[in-house]
Amino acid sequence: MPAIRVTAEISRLGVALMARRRNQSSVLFVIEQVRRHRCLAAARWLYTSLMETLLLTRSELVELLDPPVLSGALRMAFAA
Amino acid sequence: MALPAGQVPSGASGMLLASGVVPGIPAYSVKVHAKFPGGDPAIRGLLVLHDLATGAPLAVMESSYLTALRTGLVGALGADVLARRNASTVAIIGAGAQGQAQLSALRRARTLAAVRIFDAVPEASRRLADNPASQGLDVTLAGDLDEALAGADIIVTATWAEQPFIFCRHLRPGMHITTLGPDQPGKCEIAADALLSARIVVDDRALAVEMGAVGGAGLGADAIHAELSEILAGTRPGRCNDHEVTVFGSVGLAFQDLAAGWLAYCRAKERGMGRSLDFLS
Repeated sequence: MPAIRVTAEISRLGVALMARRRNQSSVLFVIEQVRRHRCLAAARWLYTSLMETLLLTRSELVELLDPPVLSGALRMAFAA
Repeated sequence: MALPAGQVPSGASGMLLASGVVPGIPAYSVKVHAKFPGGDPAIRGLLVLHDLATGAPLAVMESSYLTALRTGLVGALGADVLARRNASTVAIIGAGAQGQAQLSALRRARTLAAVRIFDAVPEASRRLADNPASQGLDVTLAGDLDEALAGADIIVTATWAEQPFIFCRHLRPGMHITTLGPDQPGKCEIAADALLSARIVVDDRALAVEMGAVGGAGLGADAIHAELSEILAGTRPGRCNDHEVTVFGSVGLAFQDLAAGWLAYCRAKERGMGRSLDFLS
């Protein structure tokens, strides 16, 4: 795929994702993903993010949920 | 929202649907929980994370681990805020998944020296004693409730009890109790006389009366000193001296599920974990 088309595809999907999330951290997250994966991989990642539902099992949650970090998030949620 | 009692399947104590929103998180969560006290695990379910703007389902995740972890951390947060600074002995009453989660979380918040464990099922007590959460502590497997409570600075109750088992006579000056069992109408762990002798802090006033420790003991909102958020914000005082008895009653709030689910979702995206599915395909 020509670079110009890839860029346009990333831009279209990135804007759609940003519009959905509407906050700075998500925008920065998208930019980081584009930087990290580049071109087609980034476009595929953005497309997946827009269209698909992520399935997470118990063992994956054990790995993902760091108790000290979650404790801080809960404290912030109580204060919100 | 819980299913009416007449519609709950045989063997289940409740079926729960809970939705949560937190300012600043661009998603909302819906959790479906089936509670079967005789099952292993006793609670099973799913948390669905939806995009706040479009409603699109962002993630579907197993909910019992997430719930146990966040409940443990909130219980520890309440105990850390309210218990005496020099509290070092904890009694765990109810040694199931939540008893273990509470002990693990409490040890992250406080330096403990000893744990006294009591469960109506002795095997459950032994499992908790052998669990890494108990490692390094002076462990006592109590033969009855009174033995477990003797000398405890912090008491954590995480049972399915429908009748109170902690009364005024069990209280000692400076004690803190975290009561987690009452999370639906008809459940109760601490009797009204004990609650009325204590400074009561809850996660949510209305829920504490409707289905939590306060309403379960037949008391109303006027018995509640504060919500945990007010203590954390400094708008209401917590423990005032080393002699008063404090109680933290936690029903569990849907926004806690959302905070945990959102954290898991964001980290999974960052790390490329989980499997994706297009439900509309």
